[in-house]
Amino acid sequence: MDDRQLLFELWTPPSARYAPWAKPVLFAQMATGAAPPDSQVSDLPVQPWADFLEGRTAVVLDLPGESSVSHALALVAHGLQPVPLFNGCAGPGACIDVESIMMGLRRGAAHLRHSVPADAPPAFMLDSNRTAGKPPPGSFDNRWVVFPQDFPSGRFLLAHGLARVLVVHQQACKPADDLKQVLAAWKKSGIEIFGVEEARKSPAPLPVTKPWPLRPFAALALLALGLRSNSAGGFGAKVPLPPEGGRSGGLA
Amino acid sequence: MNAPLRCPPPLGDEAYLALRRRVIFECGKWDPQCEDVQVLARFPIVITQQTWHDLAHAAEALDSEALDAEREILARPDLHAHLGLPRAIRRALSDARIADSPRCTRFDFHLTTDGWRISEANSDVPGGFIEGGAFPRLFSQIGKFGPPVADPAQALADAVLRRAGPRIALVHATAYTDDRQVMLHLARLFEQRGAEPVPLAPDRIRWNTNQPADALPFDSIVRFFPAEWLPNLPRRAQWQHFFDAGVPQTNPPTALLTQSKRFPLVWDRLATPMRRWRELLPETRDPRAINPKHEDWILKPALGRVGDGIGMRGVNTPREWRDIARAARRFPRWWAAQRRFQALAIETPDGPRFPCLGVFVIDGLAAGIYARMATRPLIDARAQDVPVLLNQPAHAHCTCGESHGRPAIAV
Repeated sequence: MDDRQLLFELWTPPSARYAPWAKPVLFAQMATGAAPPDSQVSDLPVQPWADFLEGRTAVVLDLPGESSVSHALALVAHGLQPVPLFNGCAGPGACIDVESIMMGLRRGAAHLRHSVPADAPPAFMLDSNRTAGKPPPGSFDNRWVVFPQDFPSGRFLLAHGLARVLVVHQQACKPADDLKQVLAAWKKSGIEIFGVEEARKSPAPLPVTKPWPLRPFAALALLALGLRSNSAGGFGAKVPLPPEGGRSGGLA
Repeated sequence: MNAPLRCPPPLGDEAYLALRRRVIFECGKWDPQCEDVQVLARFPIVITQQTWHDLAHAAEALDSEALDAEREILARPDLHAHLGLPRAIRRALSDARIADSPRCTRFDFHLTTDGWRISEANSDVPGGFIEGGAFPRLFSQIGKFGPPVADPAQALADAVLRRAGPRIALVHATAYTDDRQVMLHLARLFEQRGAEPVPLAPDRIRWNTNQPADALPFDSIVRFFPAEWLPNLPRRAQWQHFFDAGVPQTNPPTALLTQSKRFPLVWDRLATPMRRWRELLPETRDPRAINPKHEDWILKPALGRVGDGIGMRGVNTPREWRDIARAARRFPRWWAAQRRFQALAIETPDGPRFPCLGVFVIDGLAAGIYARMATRPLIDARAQDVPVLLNQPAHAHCTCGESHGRPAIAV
């Protein structure tokens, strides 16, 4: 095992129930043999809402990348298992910064040596900047979205004693459209959805508006408009404009 | 054709996790979980050399007929409107030229009560290079089983470099990690062969239209960007040049002519007899020519992929079926109705599963199998990827004396 694999295993211990959902994308793109960071994540954030968890709540950290990492690390002390779901590629000129997340994952590994029970509830880590802005010309479009298939089903969560989900946002609790689809599917399964701003104390029920149904005839219309299905069968964002090669230069 | 498929006991947890980790980190399989399904199976499908021979022979014959049909249909614009293709694509096809290109098609075989049958051909941008190549190779290295039949990614890299120089554009939608992982896997294989692959988005190619083809800054194109989405690119991308690229392209967008699920609707108007296709693909009709209430018909979007939007009464939920049937009724020219075959499940350590063996044909030769299996007779995004391994060492030549693909893989 090289150091990337060791790091991935620290974040996704084989015994952890929710480890299979972790996305390996950023780990696989880390440089092998790079010197370990000389600093750990220093100040873990205060989580005034942590009392809400009570052992039967899954958490979705929809926060700017590094913040998502540090909050996940802080949740280890509350018995939650961090599950990185970062699914963007690295590359020169990337329009979404994933390098800082990769550094956070490396630095955070030291905090993960404290064992978390195998059946610990998950803290799913997202980057709230994943679809931010429109990539400028010359950048590598590494925006990404989440799909319901990226998470356990509501049925699975309920079967394992998790009856509610807490979504943590930086500011106003307004999930992006991609996350809404996930939350709506969970809600339909009977899971209660709550939201909280990261610095607030009291979570509140999060109204999840029913997303536009991606049923076949709508899906065909989406295809006609340039929306496409990914290989996991979901529907992603419009084919990026203007997308770029992942390497500098490209073809002139 | 006889078709013995066998699934041995699964790997233990430790061996499986080690394998999963290798597939992720050594081969770039970055989507190993889909909702509650572990995408990578814990056990292989073991086939005999004879089964591989049968499948390879059939796939190569299908490929040959499809290429003949493609050439014929390309010269018959009157048929293009029957294929459910967008208008912009039909316009581009009228000026298309098929360059001498390495072709790569995947034929999806199903075990049925009538023997092997195919459900479709993926002739535009077939996927499954990691799952059909590197995954079986790593699985076979565990040592309990024989080798894989071949590695389609290796075969593709070789085929491209046989035909053109080392500068290769790997065209894909860069924002899609699932697509990018495939391109980066291919890039590694090209680099191992001394080539210069450049993964990039389709609108990054600058078509030097005033210069001869050899002035282009690349020697060939590997396209992992579905042709029907090219018209969605900005005008400055000059996407129409993919239809007359002037350099080898795998695959040229003319492959859409046989990718369409409505392809069989024009067979009777072709000189190509399509014997093998008629034998192996179930009857296909325009949705207006069937009674959708009958359970013996499946509805498919003409350009659907990954099982999206396929309607099977009794297999879809009632709501899914209702929506699909309604869509086919409203937009029949975008849909095809295919007679349903009776798929057979095989016994696996996880219980009965319906297998689908996607046989790659690259440059005319069978070049590997991307296998999936599902709990229901519908292969979609929630199907598992299963490595296919031979039950004995592969021979360089089949029992028929021919060489199918590159079966002698070192493991």
